[in-house]
Amino acid sequence: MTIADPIEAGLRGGWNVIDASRAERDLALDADVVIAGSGAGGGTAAEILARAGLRVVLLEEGPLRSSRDFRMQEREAYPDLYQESASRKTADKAINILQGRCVGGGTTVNWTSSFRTPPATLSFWEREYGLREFSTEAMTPWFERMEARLSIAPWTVAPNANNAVLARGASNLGMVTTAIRRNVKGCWNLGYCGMGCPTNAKQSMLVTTIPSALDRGAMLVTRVRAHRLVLAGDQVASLECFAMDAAGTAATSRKVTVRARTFVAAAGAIGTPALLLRSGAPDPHALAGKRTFLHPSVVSAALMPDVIDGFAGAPQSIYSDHFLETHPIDGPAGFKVEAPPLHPLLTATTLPDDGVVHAHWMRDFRRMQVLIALLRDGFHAQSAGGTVRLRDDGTPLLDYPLTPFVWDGVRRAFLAMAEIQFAAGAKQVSPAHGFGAPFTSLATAKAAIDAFDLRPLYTRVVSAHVMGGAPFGVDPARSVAGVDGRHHHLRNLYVCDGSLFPTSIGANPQLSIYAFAARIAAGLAESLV
Amino acid sequence: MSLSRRTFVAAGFVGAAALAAAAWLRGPHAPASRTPRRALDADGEAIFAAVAPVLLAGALPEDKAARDAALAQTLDGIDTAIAGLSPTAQAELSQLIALLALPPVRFAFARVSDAWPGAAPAEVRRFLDNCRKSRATLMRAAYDALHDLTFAAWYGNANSWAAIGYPGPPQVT
Repeated sequence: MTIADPIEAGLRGGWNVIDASRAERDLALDADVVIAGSGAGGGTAAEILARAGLRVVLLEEGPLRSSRDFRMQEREAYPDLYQESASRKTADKAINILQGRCVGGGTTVNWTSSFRTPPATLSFWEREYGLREFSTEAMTPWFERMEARLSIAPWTVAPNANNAVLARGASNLGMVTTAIRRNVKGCWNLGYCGMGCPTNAKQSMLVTTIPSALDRGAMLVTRVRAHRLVLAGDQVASLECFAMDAAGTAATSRKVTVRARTFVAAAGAIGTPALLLRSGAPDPHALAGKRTFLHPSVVSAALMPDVIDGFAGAPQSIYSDHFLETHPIDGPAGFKVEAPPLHPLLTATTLPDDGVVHAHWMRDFRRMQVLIALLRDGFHAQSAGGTVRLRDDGTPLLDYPLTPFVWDGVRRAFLAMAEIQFAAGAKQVSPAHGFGAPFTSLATAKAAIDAFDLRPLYTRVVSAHVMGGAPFGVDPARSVAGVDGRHHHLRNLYVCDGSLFPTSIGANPQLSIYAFAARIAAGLAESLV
Repeated sequence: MSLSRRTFVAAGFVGAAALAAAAWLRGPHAPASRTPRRALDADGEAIFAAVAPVLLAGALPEDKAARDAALAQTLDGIDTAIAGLSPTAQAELSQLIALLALPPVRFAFARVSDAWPGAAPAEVRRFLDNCRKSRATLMRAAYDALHDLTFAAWYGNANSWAAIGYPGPPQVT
């Protein structure tokens, strides 16, 4: 069976796509709107603005790939499709960040989990930030619109064994679990979403909104890094970019300059604040890059009596919000419990320890079950998240201190995951912390977890969700952009990605980004045509 | 195992300035490595060649020839992985390698008095344990870098999959 390749077909049909790494001279482009970043925010905006008849130029630092390139090989996919080979680190190297860097951004490599912004988060924003416009009622049409556009629907196939352990263990403890909705159409249930969907079933930006924008005449420039907005008074005059080298790892001195009426920053919650900082965008309250959130996540591995084969089947299909609801939203850190896909490279690098202990775990790879707990950050007074700053070479660095607030949540999360795993029949449980023997009973695990010396680079902390750093709001003293996404001090600059969020979302953020980006882009389109 | 006094002294000495000094002491021209490399220099090659067999103990084949071939492939994989990192990450790793190659650091953390290629497995084991238990976050980060690059190269390689029962990706056409 041949899989239709919409990218190949579009390129053959005359899409306007430039690979800047192959440009032989500097490029100067003109547009009505230039969008820096092609992920959930930029991809959504590109379609809406192109449909409105605007001339759109869409910029992406990574490469344009398609289903035929997605060979489900970790060693190829991570360097090609992720920021810094899927090993982007926070300043002290204590948190590993998975972030997409390819056309479609994170949506090309995410695990398809689709959640509306939790009502508790939206009401917190209303209460704390005066964001009345974003009530659940007001946002519902935008969620519905993007759910329809991206085929977001309940996943009715049985969960894979890795997710079934979460359902069974939680149920045995009297906790509620729920099926995760997914943005897929005709999914083969393979389990390799994180390496790019080889069958085009995942309704990422790569196969939906971006082809639609290109069909309407938008231009896509790949392997180009947005460097600096050139300012003229209270406006942006142009966007200066640098072409990436052929390997895609470093910027060259080859320039791409885009002049436009309107500029949209959608480079993600590390890239967008960094672009603002490099540009010297007016920022009287020094807010750009502050309050950047990660859903800091910890990992617990279990050895099950039966084969799990966590590499096979939809990677995420079950979740529990039990521990998001045990404390007030602005109390001690709550966490969402999910299961990740298990592939050898990512599993082996995430497992602590080495030598024979590590080899024993890997020898039982097929019986391994893994849970992750994603901590909700940004709500408690002691949870200010991290700060994006610039290195000497202008590249961004996120400093995210692991505070007592985080460690308290981590300890409870390790315990909760071990309880669920033992309740589902685990023979051994090994929290990803330090090293030493795995635990064979809940009692020994609990005693050890209570005594864990939690500290950076000893406890494994990971993140796949970067949010905040250029928040929207009604008060310019507390926000970078208005509720329409427009920068408070630059009237033709819009922020349109996850950096708009004043806190973390408390759920996998793709659908939140789609919905807010759609709302902002629709408003922008209306104001421009 | 408690931290030895010497380890503690070394940990206190470790920092950004130490990294810069290490890079300066080594100078700009490390000797060329045996095989053509994209990113690993001779110091890096020596350190990974010393730590990989210890990190991979229990996973490596018993047969000497198969083991040597597997280790050679792992070093190739580590080199490829480093070459795919950002220039900043490559520079940081290069500084870290220069630091670990300095005789006083090598001795403090591992009691390895000979150069890295002469280190015994027990000395390398002690070095890794001292790194991961170090009070200096930089040394714990060094352990993580050695751990992650080595296991990524090993388990990213299809030759390692049979031993863990991973069938590899499915066919889609």
